Amino acid sequence: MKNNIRVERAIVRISQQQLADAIGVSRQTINAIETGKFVPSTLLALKIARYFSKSVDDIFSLEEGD
Amino acid sequence: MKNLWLLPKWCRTAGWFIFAVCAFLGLYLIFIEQYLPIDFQPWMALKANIAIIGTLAGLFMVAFSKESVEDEFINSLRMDAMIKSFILNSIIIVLLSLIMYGFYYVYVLSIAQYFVLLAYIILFRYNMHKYFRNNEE
Repeated sequence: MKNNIRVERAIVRISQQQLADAIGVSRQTINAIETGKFVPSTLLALKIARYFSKSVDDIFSLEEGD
Repeated sequence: MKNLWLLPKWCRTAGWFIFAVCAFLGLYLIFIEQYLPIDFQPWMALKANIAIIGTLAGLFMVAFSKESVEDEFINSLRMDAMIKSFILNSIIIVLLSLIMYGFYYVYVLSIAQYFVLLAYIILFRYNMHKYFRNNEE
């Protein structure tokens, strides 16, 4: 699964730490999601999407083979 | 987010202290006092029980105390370390069973009861180090 959290962060100009604080996780969790090392739960995906005022589909998408 | 049931953060430091003291006591009983669990002596049995229970309790406190931030990613690191430690423990028991016979097998069982927790702690700390060292954007 790929995501464009890094792009969304760049648009609203916030750091990983600021996003992490806003949704109540560690910065490393955001980093692991951005780099594709960790696939978040539905709950976390919804929180991230809500933070950027977008739908989950706009931020997360399936890759071929998923 | 529902997190795992874990001990407070301060338990990690206390756990290391209890582990160090009790593991030292256990090693002292085995190697210096040459204690064997087959002959029952109340005073020695009490010391051995303190060493066994203290070592396990210390390791348990270290293994299952909260991190500064507990979230689902850290839970996944815990799960990864847990599975690997069980696999490693099974391999160790199988290998030691093949080379240790008779009374010495008691030592295999003694090692096994601590090894799974010790391996979990090492693997989990390694996971944490791998992801939690400075990897800013």
